[in-house]
Amino acid sequence: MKSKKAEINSVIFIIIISVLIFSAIIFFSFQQIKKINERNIQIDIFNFEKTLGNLIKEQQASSYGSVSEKSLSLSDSVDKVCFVDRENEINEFTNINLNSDIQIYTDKNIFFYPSAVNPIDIELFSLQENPLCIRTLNGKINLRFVNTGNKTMIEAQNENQKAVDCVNLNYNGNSAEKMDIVFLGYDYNGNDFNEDVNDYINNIFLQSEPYKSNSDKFNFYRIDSANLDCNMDIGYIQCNDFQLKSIASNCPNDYVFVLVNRNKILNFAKPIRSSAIANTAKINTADNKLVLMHEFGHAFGKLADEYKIDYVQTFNLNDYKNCDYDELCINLENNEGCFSECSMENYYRGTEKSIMRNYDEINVYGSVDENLLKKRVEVYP
Amino acid sequence: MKKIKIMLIICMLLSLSCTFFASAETNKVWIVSLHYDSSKTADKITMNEVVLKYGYAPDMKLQPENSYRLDVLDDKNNVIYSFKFDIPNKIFTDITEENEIKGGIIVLNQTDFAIIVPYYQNSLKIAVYDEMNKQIFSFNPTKEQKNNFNVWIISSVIGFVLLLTIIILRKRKE
Repeated sequence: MKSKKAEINSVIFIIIISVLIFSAIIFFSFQQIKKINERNIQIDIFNFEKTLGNLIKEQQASSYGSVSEKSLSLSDSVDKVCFVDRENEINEFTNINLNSDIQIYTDKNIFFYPSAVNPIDIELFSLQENPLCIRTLNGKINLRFVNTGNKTMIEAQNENQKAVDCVNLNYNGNSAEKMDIVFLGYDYNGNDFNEDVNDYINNIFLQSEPYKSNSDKFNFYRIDSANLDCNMDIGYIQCNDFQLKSIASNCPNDYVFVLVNRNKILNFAKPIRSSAIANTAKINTADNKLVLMHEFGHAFGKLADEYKIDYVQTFNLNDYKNCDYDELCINLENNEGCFSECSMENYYRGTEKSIMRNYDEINVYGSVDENLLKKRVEVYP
Repeated sequence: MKKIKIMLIICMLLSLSCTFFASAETNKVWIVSLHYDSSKTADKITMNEVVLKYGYAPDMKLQPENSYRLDVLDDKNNVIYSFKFDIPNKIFTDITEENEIKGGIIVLNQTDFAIIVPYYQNSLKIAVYDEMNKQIFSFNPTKEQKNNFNVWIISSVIGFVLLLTIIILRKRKE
């Protein structure tokens, strides 16, 4: 009996000692690995700094306008490098981490991300895009050097290598004041997303009243590297909201549009509904482009559908200002008449045709909805 | 004995690799993930997780009137920032079919959603209130933030202890 007890005690003792030794090993090993790693990265950065400085000087010595392309080696732990020209205006949206680093390291102009290494300072370079953030590829960064007279201009060799968190498309002022709309893409390849976003902004959104006459109240942004987790198996577009918000927060984001790239033929075989929930609208690009205005009517304007909807559990009329229970529409402002059907069969709407009724038929919101939207737009200076 | 040694080495290497991949984050906005469940009589909203990151929060110029509210409080319980929000459980869905629009409103009884909250250095607490102004829950976002490093360390130590116990017990049996 006694020997069994002693045996258990010895097992416990061995376990405790092992845990202590093991924890100590983990702690010290981790510290050591971290130190070795940091030292290697610093050596890589030192070499990078020296090589880049020499290449800039070399280009400087060449003839005006001459161009050369070089690949510079960097530590694998560096994902992107951001070059900053402190003498010129800096775009605050390019890299969200860079904004604070620029203020902390006031004497530095080249920053590395993830920021495990200290930034460096190199003279005599200029930028066309400021800041210029470039992704590394297999531990290398591909740069183009152009002699521009008194300085060497640094560019990315390839547009795809640029790392931009948030592309500023149409900026009308301070994001804290203006209405900020950000576009994310799903299922896009190549340059199509850029083209679609520009089309939706310039040919759809800014052509519709009341936004057209208040275009200076809006800022538009695009996030290219959004790797969204969405699914369409349920007949409409559903995305992981936590991930969506995390990505959207890379740009100012009062309202979010997710453009879902759909082939028209595929969409004919398997139709997917566009949708709006809270401040987010998900748009099936195979549908009529005006669906974007319809969903924005829900998300921003808090407008109800003006057609007879197929399904709803409970419809609270008080939540929507574009529908009326009164057959003379006495509670609606700016109505052109009173027409039956406004989400529900027994409710009324104030315009016969509108984007909220049928965006496939007409491209205006109509007087009632336009008035309601205008009131909300006017909140923005 | 040789087998035990090999297993111990593998176990240590695994644990070391776990710690190697551990990392921490820095911040500017809180992304607060919440869960809504209408079937519950109390605690209809619960918190899933919080993440701190560089980013922008919506300016919330347009807020619902009678709705849920989120307050950010400092260490003296002063409200630094506050906004109202609706539970995003109503999905408007629309599609064109033969030149007509079809669709409806899907009401979700349960949903996960996220809110972007601006980060303040002196913020100590985030509190969420219902439509009746009753506090549903509050939390310290700094404490709630997921720390991968600690999770990996603890799980690798626990894993090691379990393996070691099994090995010792087996050896005793033999």
